[in-house]
Amino acid sequence: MAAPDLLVLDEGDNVGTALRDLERGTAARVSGADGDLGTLLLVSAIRLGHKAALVRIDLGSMVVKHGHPIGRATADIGAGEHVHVHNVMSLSKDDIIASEAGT
Amino acid sequence: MTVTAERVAGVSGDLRFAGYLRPDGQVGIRNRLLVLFTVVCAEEVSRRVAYGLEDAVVAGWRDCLVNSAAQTKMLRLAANPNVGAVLVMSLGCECSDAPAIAQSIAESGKPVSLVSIQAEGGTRAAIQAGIERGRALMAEPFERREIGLQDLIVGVECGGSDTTSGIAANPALGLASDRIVAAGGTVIFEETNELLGCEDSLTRQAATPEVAKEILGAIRTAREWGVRTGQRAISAGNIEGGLTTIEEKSLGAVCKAGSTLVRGVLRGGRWEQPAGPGLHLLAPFYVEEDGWTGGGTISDPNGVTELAACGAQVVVFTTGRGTVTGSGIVPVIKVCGNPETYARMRDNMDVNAGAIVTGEKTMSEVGDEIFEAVVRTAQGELTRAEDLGHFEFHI
Repeated sequence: MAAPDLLVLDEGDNVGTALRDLERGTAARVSGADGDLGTLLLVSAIRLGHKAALVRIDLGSMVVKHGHPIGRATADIGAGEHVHVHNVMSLSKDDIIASEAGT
Repeated sequence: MTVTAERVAGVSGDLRFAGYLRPDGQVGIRNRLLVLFTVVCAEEVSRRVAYGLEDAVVAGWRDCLVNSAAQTKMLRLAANPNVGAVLVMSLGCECSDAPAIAQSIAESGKPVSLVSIQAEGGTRAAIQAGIERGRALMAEPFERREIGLQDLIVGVECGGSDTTSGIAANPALGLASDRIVAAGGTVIFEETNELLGCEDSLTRQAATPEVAKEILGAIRTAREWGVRTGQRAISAGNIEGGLTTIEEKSLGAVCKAGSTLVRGVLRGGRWEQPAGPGLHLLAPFYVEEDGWTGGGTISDPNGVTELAACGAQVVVFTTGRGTVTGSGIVPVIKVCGNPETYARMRDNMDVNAGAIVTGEKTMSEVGDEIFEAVVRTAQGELTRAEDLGHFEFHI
């Protein structure tokens, strides 16, 4: 199996996590728990450990990873776009440092 | 996948092991002599005794003060089913009540002997007495019984984490946890300070409203504790590494527990054994009605020691940066999610979850490997930590 570029941790997720630093424009190989899920054209550079949207995520909808919401989209996020503090807001009152960094 | 759905796992029915049947009905997968010192003054003598015996491991309580939680923890460790017999090593004048500890162990039916260094006449005499009594304790015949996964309590923990922990090692361990539970086994997860932000997902995973309430209480206590000690929320380094929110960070840790229902919450300070099979949360910082809190020391070996105190016979430990510690009481299986760390520290690692990152294996395949490592360990195969003599403890 060719090394995957993006790993999807749960079938309900709408983001994948980069397993290496990926350039913008890459046709990223996406892998799920049981292997290949196809490719995703990256419209942003995605560094190791960072997330790319697998599908379009509308403003206000949930970003889902590990099968659970990890926050709410604060902007429309296109498929293949970088998903991080610039376009996601935590739903938890314990998200202390992240909310500071997001301002 | 819905969070409350029990994931059905394919488990063949022939996973049997020869366990050690203990007088209290529990079954162990190791037969160790626990040399239990009741004060630091008896620690060195205890180590010399253990060096002179086979399958002897050392643990104990160093402080010289009256501490009922420490005494409870020593008794819970002595009650671990991997412990065949206990040699209590006392100086003779410490605050811990060594004779009462030995008496409690004797009442459980487990073979026990007490050595007082002062009464024996000093270092040499105590070492000799300890070795002789230890040998006699372990010379008793130990009853074996065929056991299976339904008799296993598996603790899961992580330490020395990095980016790969949340995306490779922990999710793969979660798949193995689900298989263990599907086979009728028990899994205990802990580290409630890593559950912040997971309130919604975890309470949905609770088997009953009572359990949901206890989970929320445990997270609340962990938050208060975290605020006091500054161990809270996510760091700038986490964000730099790609973690966006506290929910994401916590889910990356808690996913190692798997997706089955949480059946109960165990209280640190009591270290009670799970009442039945299935997934359980150990809350180290549990506030009792009288205001007393469990917990105290914080370290990887303490986490493993707490899981052993709750009756776990085996612990699966995920890492990314690499850790070496084990336990004398409970075999520790190391799962490494970082392929570079695995290559550098492979002597210390049992399972290479870094193969997910390099694409050599899928998440499901590594989950199966972890499950199989648990079975082989239960069948008697030594883990790397055991083979290397990593018998740490931290009370």
